[in-house]
Amino acid sequence: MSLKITVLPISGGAKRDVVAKGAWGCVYGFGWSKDVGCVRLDSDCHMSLICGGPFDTENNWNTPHQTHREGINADIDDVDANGRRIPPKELRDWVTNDPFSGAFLNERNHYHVTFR
Amino acid sequence: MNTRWIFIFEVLLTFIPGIMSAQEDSVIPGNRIAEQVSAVINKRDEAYTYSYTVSNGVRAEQSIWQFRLILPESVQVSNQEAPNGWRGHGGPYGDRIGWGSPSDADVSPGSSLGGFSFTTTNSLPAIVPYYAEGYAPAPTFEEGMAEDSIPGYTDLTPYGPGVVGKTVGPIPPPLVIHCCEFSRHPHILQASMR
Repeated sequence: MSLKITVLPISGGAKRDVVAKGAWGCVYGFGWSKDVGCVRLDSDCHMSLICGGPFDTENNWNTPHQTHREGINADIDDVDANGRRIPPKELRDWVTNDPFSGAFLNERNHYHVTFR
Repeated sequence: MNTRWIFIFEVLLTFIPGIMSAQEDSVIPGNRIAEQVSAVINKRDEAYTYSYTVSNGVRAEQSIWQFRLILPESVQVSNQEAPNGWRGHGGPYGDRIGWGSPSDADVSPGSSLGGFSFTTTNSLPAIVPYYAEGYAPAPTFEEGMAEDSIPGYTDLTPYGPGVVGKTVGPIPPPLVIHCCEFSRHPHILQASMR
């Protein structure tokens, strides 16, 4: 199982999808634990730099992705790499049991995960 | 008093409590459960098998969908098993060995569920924390509105918005046994009393 991580633009523009898979592969600041089965933070890279980064898709350092600049917040989609839509409770179970995960929030068209 | 102001005042009295309660209900913690955890430990040679039954009282408002043990990182866990409809989470080392119900196999109020088990070889039974969480829908926020710390969701326990309690689980045996620490090791305590 692997998750497709969706990088959402702040306004307009094309949505960028990143498929994270492979044991501990680091894609756009994500590490991927094949055993645990959910996205997790790799200690060698960050989800976003303090002044922007991969999540700052429009390079204007604007909100709403302010919280994504601390290396602990990520938006995730509910579709796996095979295109299967993961039921919300199943997805939340994966994320909740990641040793580093914290809050799991619904932001209407995607989920927001805060890692510890 | 002007009837117009009376009307506005009445409107405010009608809607403000509703708006405030809607805000309060936006984050529902997972602590509305009445959990009880019982443990059975079987020793075979140098291996201990821990089996747990999780019960939820009839007065609970939520079903239990997460159950975890908080263990020292050095505890090596194997043969983790889960009840039907649940799946086990955790690696070869303890730290946070847990189980989750990704479908509808939760422990509903007034029911019990057994079958949470695992085996260890490098540990002794002791008092350890557990974490249990009742199922509540994930809080919904508008894009970018969520804060890192959400009252009622991120601050209830170090492990999530559920409940922390105590049960029996494995910890590494002490290198040197001090009498004052015997109470932390029921197995040693029992043996010493024979």
